[in-house]
Amino acid sequence: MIIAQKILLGAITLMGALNAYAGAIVAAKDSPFAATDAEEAKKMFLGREASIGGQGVTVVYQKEGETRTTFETKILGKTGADLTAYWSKLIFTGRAQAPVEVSGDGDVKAKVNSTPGAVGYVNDGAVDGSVKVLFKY
Amino acid sequence: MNRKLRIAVLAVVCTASTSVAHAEVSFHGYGQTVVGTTLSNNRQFPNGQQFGVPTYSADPNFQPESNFALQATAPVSDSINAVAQVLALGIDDFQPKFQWAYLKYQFNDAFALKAGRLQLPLYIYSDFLYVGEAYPWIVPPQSVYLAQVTNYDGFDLSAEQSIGDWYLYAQFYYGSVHRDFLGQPAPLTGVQDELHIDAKNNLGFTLDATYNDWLTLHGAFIADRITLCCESQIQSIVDALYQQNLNDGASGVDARNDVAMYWNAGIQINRARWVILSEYSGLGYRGDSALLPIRESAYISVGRRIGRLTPMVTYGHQNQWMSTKMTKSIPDTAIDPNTHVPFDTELLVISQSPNIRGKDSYYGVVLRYDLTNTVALKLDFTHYDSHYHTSDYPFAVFAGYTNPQDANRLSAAVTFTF
Repeated sequence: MIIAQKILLGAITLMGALNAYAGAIVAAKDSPFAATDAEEAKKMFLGREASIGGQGVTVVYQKEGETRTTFETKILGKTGADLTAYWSKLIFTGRAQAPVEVSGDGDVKAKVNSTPGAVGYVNDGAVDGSVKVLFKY
Repeated sequence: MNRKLRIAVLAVVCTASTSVAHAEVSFHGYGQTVVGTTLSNNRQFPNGQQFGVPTYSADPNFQPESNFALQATAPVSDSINAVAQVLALGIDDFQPKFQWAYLKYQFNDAFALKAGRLQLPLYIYSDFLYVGEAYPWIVPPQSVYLAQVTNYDGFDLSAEQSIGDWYLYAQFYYGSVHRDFLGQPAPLTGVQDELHIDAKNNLGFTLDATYNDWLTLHGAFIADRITLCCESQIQSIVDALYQQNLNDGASGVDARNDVAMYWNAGIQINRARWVILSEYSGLGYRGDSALLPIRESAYISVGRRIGRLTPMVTYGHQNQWMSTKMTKSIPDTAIDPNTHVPFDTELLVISQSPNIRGKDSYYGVVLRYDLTNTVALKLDFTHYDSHYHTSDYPFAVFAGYTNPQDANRLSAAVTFTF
């Protein structure tokens, strides 16, 4: 019985791990932005959505690190120098504003709540009642 | 763009932060330090009409392809941004000049209008011509990237839209260009004319269609009324033709208000760590051409990402010639009173010179290493192969022209953005 319970507990834990999200795209608690999908999220964070429903979009990235690499791999399909080259093309042609860069989940949550139209990404474990979740990845 | 307007835009950029709450002027920049050599005492890498590749010689030179730029972007209102970019090129002794200075009005999600000094979108990489971080080479392939004029003053209306897996970006633009530059040295005297290009009523469009972020198709077209002045050899022939009342011939030869047309088609593939880049472009004129070069050129580059390394090989070619259709209204027997040479012969000499009738190839290999996300190191070796032989053109021999020499270029670069 004990062994069976352990196996069941292990299975439940494993299923939980398989369903766990790495992170979430978040906006201010009172943001007018609605929940979105992976494709829209990608457009937002590649500077292709200057505004949504009349509200200008400010994109918030985290500084280089594991959280950023995970987000870029799962959502953008571009990382590192490839992504820098992509943004260079937009910034130095005036087609898009450079994303704001902050350090860590706490700074992202503070930034989205203090800047109208700002969207950022945090680790799943950092999601709390201070932000609205637009998409989990 | 006149100096007053440029100063006005810069003033808007600098003061915008005081007029919009919570908005700040943001600064970004880019640059590259490049050193190059031809490895050979008696060879120089081609120059002249070619963008971004001034003469390298045996002595290592840091100036020709190095640059530094600073860009300021300021929100003027929720829908309007002011943007100014100052660029200093090593070839200009690092004298800072406005590369961009414009206001941008974002109508809605899809449409935006820019007005001011803007980049002329002739090529895929026109918009970020000097941003080394944005492309794998040290400079874009010079077989295609030839234009001496890279920006214009005017308006640009852009539109973008996602349709299914496609992302479309289109530009429609109108404006004018003025540029002063030195011509090629005359073969016997070495004298270089001070030339001026005036291109008015530039009307053009570009379309980029990107499929799932890995495939981009590019097309561009522009037409304008172009005036090229004052190439002394051609000007004296034009004046002599008018003197002889050969007005149709004079008008045909004179490069004044001729309609020039340029087109470009390109492709970018970035998939499964393979990178393939290619462009094909052409330049021609409507009707009876003036003595201006007609050109078709292309390149293809193939590379592969291996971790932080991207090796890439490039082949490019360029074919340039001059139409002599305008001479059909000039009688064979008409003689230039200043030189006592038939006009036909004089025009043949010009059309057969290696400055005009060019055919050459470039073979290059570049290695890019991404040191960090914003700093890259590059090493490039390119061989220039001229296919022009004066022995094929007796009039060129007569005028004292010699074969352009083959040459090699070895260059190394550090590129960065901030």
